[in-house]
Order: sequence, then C-alpha cells, then structure tokens
Amino acid sequence: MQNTCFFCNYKALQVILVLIFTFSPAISNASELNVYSGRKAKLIKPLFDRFHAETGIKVNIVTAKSDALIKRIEAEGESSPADIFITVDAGRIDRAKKMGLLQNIDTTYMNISKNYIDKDKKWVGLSKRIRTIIYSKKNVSNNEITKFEDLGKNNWKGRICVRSSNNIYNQSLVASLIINHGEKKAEKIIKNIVENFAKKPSGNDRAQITAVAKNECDVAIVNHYYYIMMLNSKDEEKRKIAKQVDINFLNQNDRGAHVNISAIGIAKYSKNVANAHKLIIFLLSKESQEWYAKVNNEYPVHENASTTDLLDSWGKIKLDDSVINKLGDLNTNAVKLMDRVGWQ
Amino acid sequence: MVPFIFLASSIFIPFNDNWHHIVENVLLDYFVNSLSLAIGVGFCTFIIGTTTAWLTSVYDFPFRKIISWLLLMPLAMPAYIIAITYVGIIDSTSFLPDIRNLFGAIIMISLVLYPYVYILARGAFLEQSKELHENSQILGASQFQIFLKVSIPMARPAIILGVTLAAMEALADFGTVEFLGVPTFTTGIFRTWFGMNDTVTATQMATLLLSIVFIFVFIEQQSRKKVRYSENIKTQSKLNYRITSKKNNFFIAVICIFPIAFGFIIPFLQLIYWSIFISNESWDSDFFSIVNDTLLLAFLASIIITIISLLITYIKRFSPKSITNKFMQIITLGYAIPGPVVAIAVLIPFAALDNYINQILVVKFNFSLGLIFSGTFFILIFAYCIRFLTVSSRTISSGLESISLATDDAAKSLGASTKNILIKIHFPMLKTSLLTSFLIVFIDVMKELPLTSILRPFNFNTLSVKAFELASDEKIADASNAAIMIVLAGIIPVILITKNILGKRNKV
Repeated sequence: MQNTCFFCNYKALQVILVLIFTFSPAISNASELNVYSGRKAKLIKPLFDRFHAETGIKVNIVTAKSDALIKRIEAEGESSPADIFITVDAGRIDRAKKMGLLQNIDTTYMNISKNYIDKDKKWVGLSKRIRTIIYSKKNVSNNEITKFEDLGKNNWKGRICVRSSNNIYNQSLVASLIINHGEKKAEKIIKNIVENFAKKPSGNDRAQITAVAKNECDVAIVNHYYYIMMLNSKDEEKRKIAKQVDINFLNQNDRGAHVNISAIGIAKYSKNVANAHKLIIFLLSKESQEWYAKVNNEYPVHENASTTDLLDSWGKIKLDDSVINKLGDLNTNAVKLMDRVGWQ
Repeated sequence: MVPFIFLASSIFIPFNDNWHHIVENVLLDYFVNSLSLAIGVGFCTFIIGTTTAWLTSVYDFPFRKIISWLLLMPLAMPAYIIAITYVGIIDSTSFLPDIRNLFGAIIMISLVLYPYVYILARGAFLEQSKELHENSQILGASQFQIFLKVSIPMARPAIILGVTLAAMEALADFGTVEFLGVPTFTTGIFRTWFGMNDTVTATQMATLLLSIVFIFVFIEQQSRKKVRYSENIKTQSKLNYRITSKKNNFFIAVICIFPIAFGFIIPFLQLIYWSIFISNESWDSDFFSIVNDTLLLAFLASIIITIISLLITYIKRFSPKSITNKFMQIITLGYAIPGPVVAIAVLIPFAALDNYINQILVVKFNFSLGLIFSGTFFILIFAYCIRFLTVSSRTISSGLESISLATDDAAKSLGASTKNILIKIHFPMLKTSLLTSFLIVFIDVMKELPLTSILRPFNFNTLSVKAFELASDEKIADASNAAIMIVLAGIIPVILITKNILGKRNKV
C-alpha cells in the first residue's frame, strides 16, 4: 500500500511541476524586446548584451530557421510576442514582408545605402556576405576566370564543386542570375555549370574548399567568410587547406559579385515599436557594424564602418547589390530551375 | 489527434503547380532514396543489433559487462554529428572512401540507431528460457541454428519494433542526409517549404510519406496478429552464460567492440580532440545553464511521455476494439514525421486557440494574456509527445504483450482486483520496458533539434540546438563541447537501464 501512495504523490508532484512550467505565458513587457532570429545566437547576442547594458532594455531571443520563425509569427498572429525579426538572407525577410508580417521602419537616422533598405521600408540590411569562387592556386591561374557565367564553358568540365541546391545561398545566387539574364538564359547557364560539376553536391562550404585543396576539383562556389574562417582557424590543417586556395571576386567588369545580406524588420504586431527602432539604430551604428566584420568577417552595411585588415587588403569590391530587393520574389523559380537542370 | 487531422486535411487542398513540378522532376528520386535509406538502415541495424544482443546474452567473454553497456552508447550520438566527425576524419586522410552518398548515410545512421534493436532484442533474448535452448540443443541444433531458428523468431516483436523505429527515424532524418548530399523525402519537404515557400505542398508530401509508413506498419501488424509470442510458463530458469574457448572469446569480444568503436569511440575521440585543440567555446556558466535546461526538459518530457504511453497501451490491452484505440494507433506513427512538420502541425492549431481565447478576453475584459499554449513549454512537450509516443508506447506494449492474457485471467480467478494485477503483476514485469522507454525518450529529446528550435520559449536553449547552430555555421569544432555533453548526459540513463537488465540477470 505504501508503495502505491508514493507513486501517487510522485505523480502529483510532476503534474504540479509541469503546470508551473507550462503556464508561464509569454506576455510582452514594455522594458523588454522579443527577437525572433534566423541568425545564430552566437553571432548576434553579444550585441544585444551591449544594448542591454547601454539602454537597460533586455532583449529576449529565440533562434531557428527563418522559415520556421516566419510560420511561427504568422500562426501567432495578433498575439505574437515578437517585436523584431532577423534573417540571414534577403529572400526570407522579403517573404515575411510579402506575407504582411512586418511594419514600416523609420529609416531617417540610418546611415546605409538605399540598396540595403527595402523599397517599402519594411526591412533594412545588417551585414553583407559575398558568394563567389575560391580556386586552387596550383591548377588555376589568377585570371583564368572573371565571370560567373564562364563556369559553364567546356574548359571547366569536372572542375567545379558546390554544395546542395537546398542551400539558401545557392538559391539566391540563381535568383540573381534569373534577374540579370531572364529565366531562359539563366537556365542555360546553370545547366552548363551543373554539367561541369566534379561530383554530386554534398557537405557545406568548407567541405567544398577542402575538396579543392584535395584536388577533387579546381574551383568552388562559397561565401567569402567561410574561406576567411578557415584561414584564421586554430586548426593547423584547416589553415593549410585555406592556403592552397585563393579567392576571386567575379563579374568585377560588369554587374559585380553576387551579394546577399542579413536583414532586420519590425514585426507587425510589435507592442514596443519605439524600442525596436532603438535596437535597429544601435545595430546599424558604426561600432556595432564594425563588430560584424571583426566577429564573422562580413562586410558592414554602414558606409563608414571600418573592416578587418584582410577585408581591406581585398580592396573595394564591386557588388551586384541592386538586385537584393528582388531576390525573394524569384526564389521559387530558382529552386524549380535547379530541379529541372538536376542540381541536387 | 488535431495535428494529424491538420496534416491529413492538406490532401483536400487541390494540388498546385509546385506539386506537379515535384512529381515531374524529383519525386521519384526522393522516393527511391528514402526507401533505400529506410531499408538499408533497417537491415544494418538488424544485423548489428541482433548479433551483438545475442553474443552478449549467450556468451561469456572478457569485459562482457562493460561491453554490454558500451554497446548502447552510440544512441547518445546525434546522427548528423557522427556524420560530420567522420567527414572530418576522412577529409584529413587520403585513403578512406568518401561517405558523402546514400551508402555513407545508411552506415552513419545505422551506427547510431542499432542500439534500438540491440536493447530490445537483448531484453527479449534474456527473457527466453534456458530449457528452450537446452531442448533445441538436445534436438541437435548448433548455437547458430538456435540463434536463427529459435531465438530470433521468438524475439520477433521486439526486433521488428527496433528495426521499425530505426527505419522511421531514418526516414525523418534531415541533418545527416542533407550534410551527406542525399536528396530524400524529408529534404524534399524542407526544400518545398523553405525554398518554394509552399507549406501546403510540403504538408501534402509529409502526408504521403506518413501514408506509406502507415501501410508498412499495418502490414507488419496484420502479419503479427496470426501469432502471439509469449511463453506459457514464466517460472522457467533464464538463459545462462556459456563459457567458450579462449580463441572464440577473443573473437566475440572483437565483434562486439566493432560497433562501439565506430559508433562511439572514434567519433567521440574526434570530438574531444576538437574540443581541446580547436574549439573557441568555453565551459562557462552559460554553458552549464544550457546543460541544466536540457536535462530538465528531457527528464520532464520522458516522464510525461512514458505515463501517457502506459495509458495508451492499457487501452489497447483492455479494449482493443474501441475507437480510442484506433486513434491511438495513428498517433503513434508520429516518429516518421519530420520534426518541422510536427512543429507546424501543432503550432497552427494551438496559436489559433490562443488567439481565440485572447479575442474573447479582449472583448469581455479588455485584457490579453498573450500566448498561453504556443510559445510555452506546453506546446514543446505536446510536440514531443506527437513525435516520441511511437517509441515509448511501442516499447511498453511489446513488454506488455509478453505478459500473456492468461496471467491476467489466472490472477483474476484467484480474486485479484484489476488494480492489484497492475501494481503487483504488471508493474514489476514491465519495469524494464518502462525504463527502456524512459531512456530512449530521454536521449531522443536531448538530441531532438527542429521541434525544440522552432517551438521553444524565449531565451531557452538546449545542447542539441547549440551544437547544431555552431555546426551548421561550419564551426564544428566549436560544436564539440555541446556534442560531448549530450553524449555524457546520455551515459546516465544508459547506466540506469543496463543496471536494470543486468540486475535481473544477477537474480537468477
């Protein structure tokens, strides 16, 4: 009998625990800001901590895939506690805007180029990432390639590595080609490039760089900061790999290299709009912007923010930034195009 | 039930262009890859799991005790982590074969999922009677024949359960196949959702996947109906270890060490190497608060899920024909649904409920409560239930099935009340299954990624989310601390369960 009673009590205790756990509703609080972030906590939270120290406004954060967060904001509707939404690419923030999940931002005090502000002022860019190629120093000469489109030529057969087309950076890249060339021509270009792949796409951007160092291919399409991460790695092997390749920014004589942004917007049902603006202005300040360059080797969107020595040494890079506003519209087309040409 | 209705209702929305595009271009690939993956993982986990379970149950060899619990350790290793470590190892050498293909994915996933089969098969083997084996020997059967023709068929429900769980988890896997470049149904679902922003088609694909799984499970259950596997006399003495020659001992130990080495030791050492020499992450108080959150969440979730499973299982035992039971059978298919799909399926109905409550509150009292169910731990644990009730309820029900209905009748005829039957007869006999269920759910919740990441409340972080964030940002070395912690935390329940199984043996 004693045994039974113990079991009952134990169960009751659990029920109480669970109740306490679950019924602590997420109510928005005026001196706090709630952020839904597609950007990893590690790459944004230190700035929030500094913001908290400066303003006394505490920043709560949930990180997940941007698409999942979009769904969450949409489902939560008017009850959503979200004040701020952050993504790591232009397409996703634009999608949130199109779904009516964002409200206008007052961009008066924001010192950034108009290409990095939504034309309807529903979002602004936070940092820039360039998607271009790295090449084997051994097998490729410095000016063997200058245009992305040339990767489809016959002399690149079996020499290209790139990750899967599930990756958003590849989708945006193809979307930018559709914008620049129209869908038909873009499909032809991509089809030729896919036929030149050295192997089935797999692994992440670093894996592509490693493959080039191992002579599995001669060029790889990657985001610039992954190359820098490997150059600066604590792992000697990674540094060795990175030293065998070099970076090349393509299309410098025409539209510029493909660029994407991480971006920020204010949620439609935010109850703390004034504080949300404060946070955005803080994230766009010169000091915060320099932090992005320092921590993740991204390019700041702030016009006067300085970057790292390495980024400086690459000089001023011409960027294909006029299309950023439209990447989101063409994402579905890009995905289908890649399905059709067999880019796995 | 609501989330399942939500999923199923997607079928009634007309198929759109994206659906046709997918059917024309990629669906066949997804189907073939997913099927090969499920069958491959099922086959490999069957071979590794039953062999090791048999060897550790029947033979006595050096370090048997420690090996028998080490064999469970790979379970604590998230599949995508093991894939990343092996790619790391292979990339730094030049002679190892590439695993970035379907074959590699099958091996990687099997290496961490075979413990499902091992743990269940071992439990079943240990329950088999010594007499049965001796009789078989008298009839001239070799050890191998006994294994193949007596032990495996008798342990069939448990083995099939383990293999089914492994295959279902492989179907729902995203991280590993994505990293290894194998397009499957699951990657296709995300591609449709994320890439084409088409949740409807994504949900329809998930429903299709679920229907296929349902058909397989249904066929298996029908085939099982024909036979009930319970030995009539429970008082027979249990299996005892045989001593074999020294040469064989060594051979057996080596066979058992293989999966431990590849599924646990090698990747774990690689993680430790990364953690010590390369990681920039520190073991600070922030990190330990994440450890704390993770353990608490996993503990609560596994207790709740085990209790609910117990209820479901009893409904099935006592009123197998009731409608509730039929619904329950469907609910326990959740394991094969990819996490993010479960997340939308619970998020949308609960958020709608929250909004409805708030509307009423605002109209009547001009007051809003915010999100009551969604955005709190409630929805997170609810979603875990959907996903993990499968593992839990099936583990418990396979335990319950081995208690024959005749036992109940005998107890009843001796005047025992139902309550007494449950407490005095079933509970002690079910202890292993309950603990197994608790262990598997605990480890699964700890490893769980997409659900937790999508549904969690503000400022709440788990080891798995942290590890994945760093790993997906291509900072695998920095992810190693969190991954190591997941594995270490997994050791606690593993020791608990092993003690239970071994303890039983010692009583004999």
